Amino acid sequence: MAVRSAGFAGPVHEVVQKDHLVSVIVSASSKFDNEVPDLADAESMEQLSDSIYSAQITLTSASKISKMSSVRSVQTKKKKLLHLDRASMGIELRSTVSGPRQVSETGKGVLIGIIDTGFDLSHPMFRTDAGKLRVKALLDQTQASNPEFTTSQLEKQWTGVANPDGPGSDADGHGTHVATIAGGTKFKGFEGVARDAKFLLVKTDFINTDKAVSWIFKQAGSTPCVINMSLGHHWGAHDGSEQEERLHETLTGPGKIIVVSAGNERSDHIHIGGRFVKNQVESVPFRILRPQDGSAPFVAFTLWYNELDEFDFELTTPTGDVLDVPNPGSAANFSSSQLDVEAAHVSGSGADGTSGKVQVTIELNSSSAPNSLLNGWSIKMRCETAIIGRVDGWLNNSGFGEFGPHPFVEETRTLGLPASGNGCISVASHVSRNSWDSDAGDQEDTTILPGRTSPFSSQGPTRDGRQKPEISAPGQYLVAGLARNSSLASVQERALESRRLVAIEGTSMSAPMVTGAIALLLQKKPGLTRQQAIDAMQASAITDGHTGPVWNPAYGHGKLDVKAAIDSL
Amino acid sequence: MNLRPVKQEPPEDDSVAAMFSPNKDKTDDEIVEWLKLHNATDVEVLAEGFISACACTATLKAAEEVASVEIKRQKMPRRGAGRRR
Repeated sequence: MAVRSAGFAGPVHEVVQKDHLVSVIVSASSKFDNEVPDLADAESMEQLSDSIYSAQITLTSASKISKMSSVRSVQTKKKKLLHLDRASMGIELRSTVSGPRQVSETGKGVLIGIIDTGFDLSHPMFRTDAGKLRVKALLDQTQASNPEFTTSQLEKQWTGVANPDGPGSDADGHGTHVATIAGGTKFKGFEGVARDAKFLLVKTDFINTDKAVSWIFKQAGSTPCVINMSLGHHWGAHDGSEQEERLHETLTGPGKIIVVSAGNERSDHIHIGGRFVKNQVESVPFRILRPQDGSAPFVAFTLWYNELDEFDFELTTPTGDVLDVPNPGSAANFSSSQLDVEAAHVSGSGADGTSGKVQVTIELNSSSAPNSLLNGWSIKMRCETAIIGRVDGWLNNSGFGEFGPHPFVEETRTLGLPASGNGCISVASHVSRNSWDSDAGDQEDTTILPGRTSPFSSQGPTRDGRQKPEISAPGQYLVAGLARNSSLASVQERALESRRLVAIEGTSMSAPMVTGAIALLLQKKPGLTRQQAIDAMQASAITDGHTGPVWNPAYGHGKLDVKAAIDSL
Repeated sequence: MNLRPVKQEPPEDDSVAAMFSPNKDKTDDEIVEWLKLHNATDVEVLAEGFISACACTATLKAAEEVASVEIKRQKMPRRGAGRRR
């Protein structure tokens, strides 16, 4: 006799025989240990805790066990949905997990530029249902000659799924994941936001991203194009004055839009900021972090203040040596056999030359430098003249060092560059799911709450007070394309290698949600400008009990609602 | 991919990627010519007023007389993959 599987593992409606193996969780008292029934060879049971057992058993055994007095419950393990189910629902692309798209736009006729670690073009999410590549062109900046590849060249060299090493290949996995979020073809139940857009791809060296943006827009010509940059740094003024940020302002316009991730540094203690009164002195401790790759420790930080003010700065090493930072226009050095320190004081930096800037670089000469050289640093700031009176400082990026503890350590103003520029739309992240399946079994992050801002998501505003990020989108956790043989494929708790999917988080993941959404907006209105896209998303953004009043530093103008944004055009 | 060595202030003879914006006395074309004369490589005008090139320290310092100069900074992917758990 066949029984319907309702309540047992396997897809709903699947008819399961009584000897079919099902995966269950058994909750039982301590007596159960002595009462476990004999299991058949194909069955198995593992004790996970004092009272919880995981088992793969037949329906007959499950029924028998559920009737035992020592057993509290027998529950089937629930099948996880391995696609952007909640994320696509979260941006109102779908009303239910498996329901149809609520918008007719699919990105057709629009180009999506992705600047990232590389791309596994053997992945079906880069191809049409007929197997044709959806990539218009690819630039590889990691090769000395910066080779470019046309669609036909890529088709010839990416000969199939067994060859993950064609031009622009992705040893890291980040770029494949990002691109397939924005525009992946439907695959194993998942599809990107703009599934019919075509790609312009840049495998970048992470330095010449300015050239990458220029190349993509040149390739796009008059075709509407949105570029995604899930990358950034903090070595700059955070006021939109960096040349790359100004370049973005020049290159964007009708039908040309750039999206940048806000950054993941909210909780990384990379920013200090505070207001001084005359003669106030603050000494902020910091430490250098040991690189995980075994290279010699290195850190840089920049401090910014208004030129109307006057400050004295002093750096103290762990050994008690004091390096006076000279007056604007000069630099000072401190060297020993173990480290090199440089402190430069510059005036006239920042937007319109209105800022003073101190840049400190510290380089240890050996990867085996003792911890005593990493800890115990401090920067002392003394305010001589306070008109504006504010100082902001950033470490060059996450993972190089940490400020604090000190009251000046802030979670706001952790939005990075080039996200702080006026030529882009910057994107924060909120939680869309807290569980997923993986090669190491079911995973759950109990520390986060769906709907709430991601604890890592960098916050605005910019140093000059502009309201960035503009929007928040699902970025924790997103399941999308996995590059074969990549670093991500080896992270068993995240990857589902056999299904070519991986679950990761970051504003790297929320940015391409917005990039895909803008591709849909561009399909409807090819001449859309950056400001019009912001206006459409702002007017339609979701606000709720998590966001509170908007604009705010964590969510910007609220959560992305792509259907309402399209309807508003 | 190694994203660690971010120290980008170049040794005297090594080139580093930088952006150049002409000051009021120079045009883009004049800056391009000037950079090529000073052995800069990969010189490219990305947009009006934005020139990308690789140059050594001496060239970078000299260029400050004719243009604003900014060393390109290394970015990092805004990834998750376990670092946040």
